[in-house]
Amino acid sequence: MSEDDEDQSPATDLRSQPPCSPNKSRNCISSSQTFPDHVLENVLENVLQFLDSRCDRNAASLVCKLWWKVEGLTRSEVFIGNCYALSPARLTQRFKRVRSLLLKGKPRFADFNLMPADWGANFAPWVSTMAKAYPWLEKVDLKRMFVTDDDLALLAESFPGFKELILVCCEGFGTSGIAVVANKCRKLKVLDLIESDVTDDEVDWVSCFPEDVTCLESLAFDCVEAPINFKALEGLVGRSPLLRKLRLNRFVSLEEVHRLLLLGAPQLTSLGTGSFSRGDQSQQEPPDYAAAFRACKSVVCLSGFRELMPEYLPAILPVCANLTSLNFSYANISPDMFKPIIHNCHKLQIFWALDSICDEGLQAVAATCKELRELRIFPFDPREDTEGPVSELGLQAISEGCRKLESLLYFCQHMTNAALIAMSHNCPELTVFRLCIMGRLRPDHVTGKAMDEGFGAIVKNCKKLTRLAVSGLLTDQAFRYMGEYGKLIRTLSVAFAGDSDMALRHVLEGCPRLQKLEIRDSPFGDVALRSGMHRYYNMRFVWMSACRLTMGCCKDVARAMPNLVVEVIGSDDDDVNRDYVETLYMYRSLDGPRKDAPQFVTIL
Amino acid sequence: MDGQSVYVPPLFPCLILASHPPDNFYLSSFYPNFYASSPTFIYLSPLFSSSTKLTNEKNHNKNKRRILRWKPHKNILVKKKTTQEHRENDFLILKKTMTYEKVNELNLKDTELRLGLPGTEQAKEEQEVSCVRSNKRQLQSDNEEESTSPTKTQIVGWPPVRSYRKNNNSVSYVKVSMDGAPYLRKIDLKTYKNYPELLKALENMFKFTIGEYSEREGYKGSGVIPTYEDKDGDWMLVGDVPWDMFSSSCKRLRIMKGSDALALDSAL
Repeated sequence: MSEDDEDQSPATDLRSQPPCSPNKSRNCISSSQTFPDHVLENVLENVLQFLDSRCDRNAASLVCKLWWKVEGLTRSEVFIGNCYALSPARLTQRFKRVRSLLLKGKPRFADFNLMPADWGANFAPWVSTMAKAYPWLEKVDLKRMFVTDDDLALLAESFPGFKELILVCCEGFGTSGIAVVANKCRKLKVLDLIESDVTDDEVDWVSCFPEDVTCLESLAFDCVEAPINFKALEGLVGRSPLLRKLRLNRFVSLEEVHRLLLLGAPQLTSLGTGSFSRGDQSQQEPPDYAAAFRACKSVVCLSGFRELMPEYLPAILPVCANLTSLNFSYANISPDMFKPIIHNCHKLQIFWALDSICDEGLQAVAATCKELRELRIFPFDPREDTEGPVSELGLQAISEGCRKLESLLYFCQHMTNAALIAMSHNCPELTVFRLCIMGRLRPDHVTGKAMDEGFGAIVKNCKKLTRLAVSGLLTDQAFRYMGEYGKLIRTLSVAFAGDSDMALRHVLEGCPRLQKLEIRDSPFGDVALRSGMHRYYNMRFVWMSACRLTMGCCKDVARAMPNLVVEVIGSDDDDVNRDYVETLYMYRSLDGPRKDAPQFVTIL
Repeated sequence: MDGQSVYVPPLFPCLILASHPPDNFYLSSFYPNFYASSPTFIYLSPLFSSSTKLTNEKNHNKNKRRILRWKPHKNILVKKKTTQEHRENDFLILKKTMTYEKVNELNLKDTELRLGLPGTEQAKEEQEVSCVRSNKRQLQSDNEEESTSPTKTQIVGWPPVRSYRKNNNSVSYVKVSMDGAPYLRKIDLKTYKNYPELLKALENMFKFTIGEYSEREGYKGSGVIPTYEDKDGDWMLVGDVPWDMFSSSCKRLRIMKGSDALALDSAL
């Protein structure tokens, strides 16, 4: 489960140091100049290789040129938060021994159709450059990238020791690409396809795994919308003794899950249950599903339930007591079905569900799950005018029952300031607070006032808050609070909010840690954009769509900040003088504007 | 040139119109490779075309399935997109229409075939564009709740739920009406796994035979055309989209026959 998991540490700081460093390290203390440089380098290498954290490594690399160089030699895990912030060549020039790459492409609003499909974020240049530079590459973790089958084939062929492939919210490839990876990567431990759009090329990729015992530890394909060869999967599970995580797609029926569990249940720690419905209705006696789940002594993470048949849900009761993570977000479960299950889940820390469990279900969660850290409630019916089954009552209950809550994503139709204020007091550990009141511009439905005070209380009282998404009727006051109190905020999402430019100014001037800013349909214009120019080099990106920006201002910003790539997406191509900017997406870049921009993108 | 039949020099990818379609058909010669060989075929293009469609074959495979949006009351036939294209379409709804690129030094906009007087299409598009845009601007300037109109403009990307999550509310029982039948029936879409099963069941239920389906021409031969109303309220031809997509978005079915169907038949 990684829907918008956020990295807590800042992005790689690649900017300050030039790519080449001379052998003489003039900045080091005088006594070290008596040592031959290569000895010092070796010592440093041996020391720096113990540094794991990105922040520590970034800090170490800023000490002096020698440290910069040696750190570059010893960094094995590279994180790139924006694939267009630098070119692949720069990566391979600076870091010589990379084994693992985490690369992120499109901004998050691309998931909601706010960006055309062919915008970019292609994995191709990265894989082709790395194929030559890092033959020992072991792990690739991509988020929102466009990956083709050819890219996957190149990856499978170029890296003999390849171990982990994780594709989150990616697209552009199909089951044929997966088949190549399965077949050629003999040391594959992890193949995780999470929330990606995988085309059904009608290839039996499960059969493509090698015939002998595999090293597979994690196989997740719940997002693959294509039937699979179950016999082959059974064989695969049978010859994968190290398999701990298995997440099946909705084409795997309950009977089939039952058979798989009989094969490998005791080792599994994470199970995605597939459709959780019976494939073959003609059989009179269903097998004892509960017995199969009883055998799952190590399962702590349960998901799936894609086409749930509620009468079989009690089968999971044996594992509930051990669960730390439960994902019901594809299951339309009523409160009555839900309560008996959740009453057993005392250890639950991560819980995702649909709002069909209603406020009643949330109250049950609050009563039982005292260890809850992360809660996500998705809308069963994601439209604006429906009667929402969850409301401030559920939120209030959660805030009172789950005091250790750190991360919240909540979709609802109505909310009150009082509930938010209560939550801000009850849950001081909150780092992620994302509330989506689906009706746009809805005020507090009890008092009729704007939601300013509620969100204000959240930013004021939750001192650890790093990520915030706001909704409902909000005036400039809410943003004033954000600027005043939101000192640790790194990610901010705004939609249909604010009255004037001052709102955005408050945020840009008041939030020093702001990295990712995404705004849509809000009345912020040129004055606001200009007020943040001191910040943009320190941010990963700024997204503003359907605001009040003019082309002239964007051009000014682009001119004033040469290392900032200012993309205007969707404005009239025929008429460059057309003033209205539909979508602005800008980000810092070390290597200038990208060469693969499609026609509807204008880089200023 | 009144738009009824057009001759374009063979150098350019071309279409030749054989009959006169209804108003507001929007035509383009943008896909030479695929349709130039059939001179009488009228190709209905998407309203917007992305420049990469020519270059990206894979994308085109995904985009291959198109849906005809049939609005009986307006008598307009407009291409609606599948998920992949739908995203582009949603996004581009505020943009002016065609972005043509120069292909082999040809500016395809010059070879674009249109019906109707020059300038009329343009006006309509601009009106569409300005209408939607002003909708948004109004939202910002007034900053009050949008008045609920019967046909509320669907806001792109709101609420911010990823598309695969939206497939949860699949409808199972749908009403089926047949032109000329005295009462409606109801069927459970979940009991069928594909189109042939559904059509067979409908044939049995209403005692008719349906013609041969082809992607280009719909149902030919019998004067019976199965249509359905989707989640957005549009009437679509049964069979164009993958079964799963159809069964989750179909709200009701209507078997058209008689004069309506014949008109559609001849149009295609």
